Amino acid sequence: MSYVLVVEDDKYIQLLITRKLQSAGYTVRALASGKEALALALREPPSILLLDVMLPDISGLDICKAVKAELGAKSPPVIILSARGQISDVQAGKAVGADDYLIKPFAPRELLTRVQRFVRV
Amino acid sequence: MTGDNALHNSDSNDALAEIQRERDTLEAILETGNDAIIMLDTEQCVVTANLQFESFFGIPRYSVIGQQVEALAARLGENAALPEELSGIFLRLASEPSQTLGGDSELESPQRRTLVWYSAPVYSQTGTLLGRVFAFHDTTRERDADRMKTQFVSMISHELRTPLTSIKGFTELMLEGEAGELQPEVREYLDIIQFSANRLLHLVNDILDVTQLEAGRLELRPARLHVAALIEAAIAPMGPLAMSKRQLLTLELPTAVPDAWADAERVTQILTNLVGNALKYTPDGGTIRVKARILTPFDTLPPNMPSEVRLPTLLIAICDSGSGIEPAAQAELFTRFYRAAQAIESQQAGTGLGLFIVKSLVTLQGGVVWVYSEPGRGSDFYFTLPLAD
Repeated sequence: MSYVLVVEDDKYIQLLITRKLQSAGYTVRALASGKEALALALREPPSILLLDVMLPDISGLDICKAVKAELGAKSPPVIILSARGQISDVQAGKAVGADDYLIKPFAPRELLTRVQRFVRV
Repeated sequence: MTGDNALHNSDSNDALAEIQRERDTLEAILETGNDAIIMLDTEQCVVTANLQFESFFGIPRYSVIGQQVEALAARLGENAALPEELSGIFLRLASEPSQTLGGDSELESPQRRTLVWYSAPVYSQTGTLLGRVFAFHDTTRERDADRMKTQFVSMISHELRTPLTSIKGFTELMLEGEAGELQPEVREYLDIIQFSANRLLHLVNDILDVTQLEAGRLELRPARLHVAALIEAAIAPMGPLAMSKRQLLTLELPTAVPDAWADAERVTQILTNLVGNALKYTPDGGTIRVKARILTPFDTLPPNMPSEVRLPTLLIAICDSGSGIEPAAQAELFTRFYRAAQAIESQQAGTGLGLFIVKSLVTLQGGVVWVYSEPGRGSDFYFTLPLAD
């Protein structure tokens, strides 16, 4: 089953992303734990991965790196969602293989557009 | 005769005692001060090194007093934890009779310290050169406090982004009708929430920028910029606001505007700030013109252009038909937190950070910003950017 995996520990942002993508027709699975998300992403690769950076257990950047390394060419596109928007932060995201980087606060409409660039419903 | 001699002797004894007392006083002052002080005589020999010198650099005074500056430099050089430039500072300046210089130095050992130093020649009251003094002032606490402030503000402005994401995001969802059809009043209230959240975000961004500018940590990514397209894209989002105020917002570009070398995002921020101000302080029905062109030494120079502008350069102007700015306010305009009396009277929201950020961003990119304004006629803001070639 193709689905969007959202990894975000703030429950309201998690809900915001979930609702926006669901109403556009996507199937969404959302998790707050980085470790659980990494395990799930490797076990059942999603069609796209949305990652918050500052998670309670492991960093979103580490998840991205691990997924890209494990799944190689088959790894899903990754969009990083972060409150840090300095050039070096964005570069750090690109360095671990992220395909896109969205700075918080982002407009849900913008997030949807970015997701649609990689995955159609 | 013996009596005279005795009198004379006691006079000179008094004088000697007086000199000794003065000497002791001066020495005590040197020892008590918080700064490390070292003095070389005209023969480049260390004549004074105070107690703080010992504690800052971990070198006993007796090992350097009476020694040539080379020996002092060698002692400093032996300690790998001291910054390398330190011995160089002494060696280079020892033979410099007249220069006054200063700088910063970071020490790791015997204790982590940030020192601000300066060195100047010392003259007697009659103008004879006595040598050179070096003074080191410990600013570790100030620097640490400054660093903590930067970290704190940076942390806060990032933390504020999380709740702002929800506020702005859910408001957008409601405005888009995802929670059902909206009564006109509800829509109006949601618009107000969205507008206020945007203002808050703007403030958070400005505060973060100011902190990073102050700490010298703002990152720039300069590249070749197609200025005309950039200006068009930057002012497009302001069209609706201009229209709602029945203002004429025009773009005047010659057919070929040369490329600039700058950070696209930051130039957009400069334009947004300046054009935003123009819209804000120009009455309804007014005109705001945005212009860009190359400025060479053969062109008519814009009014008030500061002498540090290097030609040729790219010149961008934002000219409004607003109320203008009083001459006294013009000088202060780019200062942090400054708000002109007119701005306050007009009850326009603002923090006084915008133009400070504009000036810092322009300067960091090698440009110059200035204003020309006549009260009652309007204001022209100019800034330059280096050409790409």
